[in-house]
Amino acid sequence: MTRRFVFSLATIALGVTVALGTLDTAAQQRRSTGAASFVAPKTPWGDPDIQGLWPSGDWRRVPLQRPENLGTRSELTPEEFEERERQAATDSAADAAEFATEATTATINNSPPSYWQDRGSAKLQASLIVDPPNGRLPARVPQVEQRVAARAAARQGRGPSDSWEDRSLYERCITRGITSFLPTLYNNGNEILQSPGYVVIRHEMINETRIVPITDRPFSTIKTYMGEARGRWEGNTLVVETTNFLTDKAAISGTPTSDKLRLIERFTRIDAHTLRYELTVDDRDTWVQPWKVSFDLGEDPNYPLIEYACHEGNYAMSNILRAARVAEAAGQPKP
Amino acid sequence: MKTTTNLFAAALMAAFALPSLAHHSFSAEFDESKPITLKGKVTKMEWINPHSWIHIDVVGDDGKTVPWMIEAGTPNTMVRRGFTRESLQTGAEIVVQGYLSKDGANRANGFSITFTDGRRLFVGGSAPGTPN
Repeated sequence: MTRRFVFSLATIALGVTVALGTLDTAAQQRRSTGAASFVAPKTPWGDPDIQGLWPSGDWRRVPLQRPENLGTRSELTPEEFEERERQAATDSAADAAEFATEATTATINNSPPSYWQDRGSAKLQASLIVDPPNGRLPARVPQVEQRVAARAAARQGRGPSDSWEDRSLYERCITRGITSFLPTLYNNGNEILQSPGYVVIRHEMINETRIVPITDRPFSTIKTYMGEARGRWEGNTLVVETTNFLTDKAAISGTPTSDKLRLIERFTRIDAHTLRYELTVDDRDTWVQPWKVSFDLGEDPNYPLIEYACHEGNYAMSNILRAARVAEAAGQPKP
Repeated sequence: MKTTTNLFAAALMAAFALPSLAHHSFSAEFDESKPITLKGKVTKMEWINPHSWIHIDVVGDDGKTVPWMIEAGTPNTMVRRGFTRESLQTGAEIVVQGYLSKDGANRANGFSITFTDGRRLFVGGSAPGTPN
């Protein structure tokens, strides 16, 4: 009896400790409002200094869209957060295991293995999308379905791998587009460099560099995959507006975008080692309203960008095309 | 020492495939219905983008040596996990679990790669010669 009582007390104490620990950790994850005493550093020429290495892989566990059952709740409950932490700890332990176990070898599936990937840590934020308030992509306008149909009609009779040109720009190592701050499987490094009149943004994935002039010069009519950018400072925030995207094959989160696509990014150093990143996607010919992503990037001087000259050994492309030819020779219908 | 070879394609696999999120499509390149286990000796490691490739020699049941290519992760991630050019030496024996390429060539995706004693590859600090 006494022993059971002591055990119960110990269990309660442990439970309280775990719960408090979770709350502590959750509080640390809460979105920072920035310290009131923080003074944003300046470059020698007087612009706010947002330079640094800002990898986004730590956000991999936060989905772009919020699960519908969370409604307009932007943060997880302590219990939900604890579950994310538990999963992160499990993954971390599996990654660090020196010897393979049944659990790590018996569950192979046709997705990239863990050693290819950035894992990310548990976050209190429920979704990367913060607006609309339900954290979900807005409804698509009817023109999107017409666009999808037109693209399908243009491809009528073609298989997905008749030529390398049938494959995505991403697979072809051409571009991931300028939504590259959104975390992906790996190569989540980002670097910002500044010089008088320019801000340079580098993304590790697909080796992309964006050179943003700080200017109010009007946009041209020249369209490119990465679009045409204009930067300006609003207080300590860098605002980058980008438009003039090539629409061929362009898509965001699986939705083909229109030539009205306009992206507005805001970068604000909210403390010495944290950069708030905000991205507003405005494409009235695609979604019924603009939508916004926001998350805070931690500076990591130990995450230098490593060259990712993706095209040089892209055996995947020749393998994919060969696989399609073998399927044709075997008389398999094109998918 | 004669390399023991174990080459088979399992008939069963998980009934679902997660969405392909890598920069290229797994399902267009590898056959999810053909999981494969290979045991062989490393002949070369290609540290190339977008993915590394490990070349191994596999001795078949008929005693013939067959070269295979195994797709591994991006060099960037592997380096960050402590994997270096010293980690996988020519001649090392490894066991690969993965998926056969769709064109039927001797290529596979390396989902799980271990040394023959069960130590895992690509885990920071565990591969021989890598810093902890």
